[in-house]
Amino acid sequence: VRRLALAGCVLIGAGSLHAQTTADAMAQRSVPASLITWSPFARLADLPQTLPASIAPPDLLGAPNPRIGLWWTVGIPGALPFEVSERRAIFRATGGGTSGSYRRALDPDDVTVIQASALAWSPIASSGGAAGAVLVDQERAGAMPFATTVLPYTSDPFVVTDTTVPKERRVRARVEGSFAWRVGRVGAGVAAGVEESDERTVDSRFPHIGRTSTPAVRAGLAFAPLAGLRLGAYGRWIAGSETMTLQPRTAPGLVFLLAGYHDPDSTAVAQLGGFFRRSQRSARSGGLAAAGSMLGAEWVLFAERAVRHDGHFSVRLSNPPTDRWDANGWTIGAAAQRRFGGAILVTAHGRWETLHGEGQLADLTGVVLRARESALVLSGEVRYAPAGSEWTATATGALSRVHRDRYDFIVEVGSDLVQWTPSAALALARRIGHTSVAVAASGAAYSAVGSIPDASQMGPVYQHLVASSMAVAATRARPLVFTLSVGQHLGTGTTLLLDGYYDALVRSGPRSDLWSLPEGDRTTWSVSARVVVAP
Amino acid sequence: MVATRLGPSVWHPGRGFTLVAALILSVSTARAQERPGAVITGRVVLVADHVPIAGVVVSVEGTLLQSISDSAGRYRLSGVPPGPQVLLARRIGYAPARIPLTVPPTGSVVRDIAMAQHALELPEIQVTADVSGRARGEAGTSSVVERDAIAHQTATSLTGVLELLPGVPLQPPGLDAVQQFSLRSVATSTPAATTLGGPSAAQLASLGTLIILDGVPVSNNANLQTTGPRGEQRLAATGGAGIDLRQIPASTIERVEAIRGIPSARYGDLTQGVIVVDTRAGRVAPQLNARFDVRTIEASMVGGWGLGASHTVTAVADVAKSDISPGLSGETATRITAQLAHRATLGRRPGGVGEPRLALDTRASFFQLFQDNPEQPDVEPGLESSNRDRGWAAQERARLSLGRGAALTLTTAADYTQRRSRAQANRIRGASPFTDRLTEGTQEGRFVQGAYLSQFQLQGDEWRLYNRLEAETPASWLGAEHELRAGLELRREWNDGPGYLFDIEFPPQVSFNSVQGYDRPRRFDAIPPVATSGVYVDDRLVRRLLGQATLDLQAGLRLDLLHDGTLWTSGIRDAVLEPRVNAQLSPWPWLRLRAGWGRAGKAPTVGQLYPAPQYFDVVNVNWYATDPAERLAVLTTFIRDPTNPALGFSTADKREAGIELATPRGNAALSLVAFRDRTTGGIGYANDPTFLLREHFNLADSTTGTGVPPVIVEPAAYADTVPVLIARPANILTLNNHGFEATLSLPEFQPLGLQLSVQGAWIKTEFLQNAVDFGQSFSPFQTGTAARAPYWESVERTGEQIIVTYRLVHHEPRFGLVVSLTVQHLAKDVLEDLAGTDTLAFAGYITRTGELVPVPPERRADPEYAELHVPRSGVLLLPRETPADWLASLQVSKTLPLGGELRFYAFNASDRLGRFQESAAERQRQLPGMRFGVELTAPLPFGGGLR
Repeated sequence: VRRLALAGCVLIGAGSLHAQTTADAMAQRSVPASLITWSPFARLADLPQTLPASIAPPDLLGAPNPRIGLWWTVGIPGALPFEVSERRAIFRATGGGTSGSYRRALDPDDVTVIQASALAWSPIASSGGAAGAVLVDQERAGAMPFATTVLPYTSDPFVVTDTTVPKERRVRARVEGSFAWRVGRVGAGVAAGVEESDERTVDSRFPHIGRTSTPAVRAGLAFAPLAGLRLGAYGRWIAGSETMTLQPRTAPGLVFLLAGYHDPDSTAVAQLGGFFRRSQRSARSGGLAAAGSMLGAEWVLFAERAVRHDGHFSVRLSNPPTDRWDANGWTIGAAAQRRFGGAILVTAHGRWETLHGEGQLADLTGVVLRARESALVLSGEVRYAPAGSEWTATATGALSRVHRDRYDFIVEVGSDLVQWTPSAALALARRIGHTSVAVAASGAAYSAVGSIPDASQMGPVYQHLVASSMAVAATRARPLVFTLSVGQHLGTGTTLLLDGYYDALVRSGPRSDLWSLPEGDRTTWSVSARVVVAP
Repeated sequence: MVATRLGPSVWHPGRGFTLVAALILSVSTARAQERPGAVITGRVVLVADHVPIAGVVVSVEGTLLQSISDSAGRYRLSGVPPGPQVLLARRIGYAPARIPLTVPPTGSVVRDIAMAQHALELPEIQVTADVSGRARGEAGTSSVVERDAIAHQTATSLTGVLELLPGVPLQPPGLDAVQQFSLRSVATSTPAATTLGGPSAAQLASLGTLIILDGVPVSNNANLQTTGPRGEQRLAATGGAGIDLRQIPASTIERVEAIRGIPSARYGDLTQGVIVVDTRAGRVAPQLNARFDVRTIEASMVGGWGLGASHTVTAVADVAKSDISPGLSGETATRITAQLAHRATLGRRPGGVGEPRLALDTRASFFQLFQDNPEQPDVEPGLESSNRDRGWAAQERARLSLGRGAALTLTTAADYTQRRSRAQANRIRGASPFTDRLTEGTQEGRFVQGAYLSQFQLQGDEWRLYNRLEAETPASWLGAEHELRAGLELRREWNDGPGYLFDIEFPPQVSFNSVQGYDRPRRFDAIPPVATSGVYVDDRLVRRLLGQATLDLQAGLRLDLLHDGTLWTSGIRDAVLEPRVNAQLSPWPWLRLRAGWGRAGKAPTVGQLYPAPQYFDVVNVNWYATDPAERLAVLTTFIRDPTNPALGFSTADKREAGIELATPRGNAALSLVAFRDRTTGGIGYANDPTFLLREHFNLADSTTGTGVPPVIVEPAAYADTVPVLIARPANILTLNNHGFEATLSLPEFQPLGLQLSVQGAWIKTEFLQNAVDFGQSFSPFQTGTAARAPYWESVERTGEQIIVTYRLVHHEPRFGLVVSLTVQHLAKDVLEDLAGTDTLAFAGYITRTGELVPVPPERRADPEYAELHVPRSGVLLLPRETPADWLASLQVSKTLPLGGELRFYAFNASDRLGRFQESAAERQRQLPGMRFGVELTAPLPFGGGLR
């Protein structure tokens, strides 16, 4: 194990802990997080290992001012009738891509995405509310190295890989909706959705065929016992499956089932029969929340306990031998918002997540991999929009601290990293008649302190497929983001927006001798057209 | 029950029809002046703000009753028949509204109708089949699927729409494979097909399910795209079974009526039931529909425009492509369809409301369905196949209104389908004698051996002429209201394609046992046309009984004729008389007791009437020397014609009984039906045993190393017999289906906008062949020297299935949102063969002269039959039960701004794999994989349909 001593920053910042694919990232930055908190697909008991990223600049033209509450911050469906009082619909079409050599072994390259989505919410009469969203996208990777699993960098260590770098196409559709009703002081609601995706290699001699299905449900109650105080309780459930088939066409292929830091045996896949792998995932949680107002400020507090059970098997039997990943964790969060005068709105969020997971292989007794992880994200925004002015300005800061402690009991090797990502963003918007323009930029300084396995002492599979992710996680990097939006008011509450987005990730520290540390940079761009209807 | 067959006679159906039609039309003069019944009144309003809508045509489905709303939105319908009825409200610019209700025998009903510009905003949208739906003019059990439900289905073709019927398993949308549909039958298919010979139960049932497209039957009778019983390369073609429903896109369908019970006498050439499909016609707001599925891309367009007051033109087009094995092979299926419909209305019926004096409906349509599996040189060189079908159809329907509800309708149609199937594969055959002789006789052959690229083509050009003349009139006598109908149907079908083509030197088969010959090419255009005709008369009466009770009785008689020549004036080869009765008693409007009985007949297909000649190449000399120059082969070619002059109609005796309950508002209903169908005389291949005489010659100068072949010494030294089986089409199949269907629709739970409907079916199918089975030991017997070989009685294969489908629909009219969750429970699925399999199960033996000698059961254990004591193979020994399982599908439909609509669907949304094997007696159930996609409907700017 090599001990790393990397410089850390103590400013502000937060990287995305959620988006793992280019399409995911594109979908997430299309709307502010508070508008989709209610989504039943929000991750549970999982802290994905993403590439360093900066905070997303605020959307000053298409989104309303940031809000907090049981619905907006915690996503409790029963609070919808209490907190949603206007209608809004956002339709969006986006194209973009990601490329660059600064990536891990299982990250795709030359990715292009086309995506269409819609999001809407509305009150129903005086005592109900509804929200809904739909997303359809297609992601094409010019090179999809080794990973058969769609998301190879979740907390779950069981990942299917092979020996090819094919082109791949992934098509995904997601539909989700929430309905809620209020009777007196009590609101009850439910949000449900399903996401389906289909992955296929293109022109490959060792084709992968995969599909995922993820149903999710969130239900919650809100209760307003006193003026200025609301209490909430909720539960969530996400299940899902990922089915992978590999079918060699011309010659047998090799599959490696990663399960931590040890080198797994290779599985030879013959032309007759192919290789089958199924991952069945299930997570559930329950939480309590409170929201209110005090001293002119709105506040929200919540706590959530989540449990996850993932199973992976390769044979079609009634009770197949299954590799298991069991995890649990807590999420505690708070938010506050206060308006100063008529021009300044200050919003602050804090979120602390923990995860404790253990992996077991079907053919071994006992735990083969243990993970103890936590993430703290603090962020704050100051929004300045003087009455009567054509100008709006925001300054945002965030700080993310992620601690990942993983230990592989087979090779008795572990990693222990504390990752810091302070970031800041500035955004400026101006209205000129029926036209609006907004520009924004954000930057972050990513660093990590801790220890990772010495790749030179590890096996060839680790060196080839795992080492690069550890090297990237342990290396300082500087993500930058620039955005430009232009809006045109079309009348009757309808606005057309054109957005441009660009981000870049480069290594910022001196070149280290870490095994498999990639060179170069990684850039992402997108352009999108949005229609916002807010009558 | 045995169908009545009429022998050859000088019967001319046209004369009979003239008499019957004249009788019916004369009755019309005696009809009552005014129909009794209830009065329905109400207002038509806009759903959003209750503003009255004027000019809305409100009608009672299936009748001529209609009213037009006034400026206050008021309408009034009188003389509405009692029982469950459906009000239809239509006006250009608004989505059609469909309101089910139960009508009392007398009195009045007030029912307001809400309309909206988009169907999803209507409070009463129907996205499933009607629980107690009635096909127009039919009293038998039916399911009716309307446009709104079709649009909400994840259907690519008609097959997907039919999943709304009870007992039909859900399948993912797409054009992945041939789609043939059979009503009320379990697909007890192929494993025993080799034992049974000929078609499977599923193929027989799909052939007997009649598909009517815009009033004209769609036929597969002249489809000869099959390599026959000896074919070793199979095609994804549809010869010998029902039509491939992929050629009928769901996007172009307006309405589907599935007559599951006893159809009226109007419908012939069927054994199972009738699927009546109406495509979109009339004035339709133009719209574009696009589907993006992970495997299928589809775009369709529909628009209907008014040309003045009397003419409408409707254009429909659909293009779809499916990747059948994406990522693994380049196999694709593509479909292009287009249809142009014109309707002209001339004059007005005297004293009538709305119906024109003469209505002319003209349709021209085109379809193309290609399935291509291109060669993958790096995976399996040489392997390639394709099926390419394209065709056109033209039809004209003229309906002349004769006053007082009487009408005369003439339908005439012609269609042509070109089918081009080809397949190639690298094949290897061992050294064997070979002859390419095309006529009977003996000649020297040669030896063939080694690998070669086998290629063949099946090129069929199918033609069909269809005519129907029908007279109908209402009448009133003996206190009952009658709807009388009589008609004449004429069909002529033939195939003049180039046929089954291949290079004789490189035949598609590689198996040769010194007796069974290789196939020879065959031209289809040498096969004569087949002419059939039918005449029918049908009366449906409604009579009030005591109190609120009513009786609805439909009785008819149909005569179908198979002509022995190529014209309808030719003599009669076979005939079947088909009485049909449906009765329905309603003691109260909310209760209906129903029963039906009838017989139906299905004519043989062109391929069954004119099967391909069978070639036997018997080897007389087989001298295979090391030096090819010294080899000698002599073969005698025998050609046997398997045509069966006795081949005739297969017939089905059908009966059913049921009960239906409905709430007065029609928002909840329960229907229970028990049925029993018995099809006899289904056409399969009977292996007729006979023998060939094989001569054996001595050879002279057979010393090796001479460089020349030996000399044949004539005459033959001796001759022996070779037993052979002639695969002859015969009426030997019996298909019994019985079961139980239940449909339940509960009222909407208003606070949550939820409605649940449940439908299920238990169906048991018994399929047997009334012929002997020679098993898999016949070929060794044929080529060996054994004096006899056992034969067995036919296997009876049974299939049993219970499928229950739950549909939970959430509707939010104010958002134009419909979410439906469909859960299908595959509760039972059992296949079983009923046959003796022990060594004493044989029924007798066949001699080398093809003689069948039965052995009584009590003597089968005798030592003299010891060599016949062999176990039987090819039979399922245990009940093969598939574990119960379920799958769930999700559909979401939502209106978009500017009149558009977005639909999302996920088939097997939770991606269940299926149940895996628990014991040796169970089969593994592998569910179809998850499939998802979105559909977008957008109005087109040239809105001529709104004029």
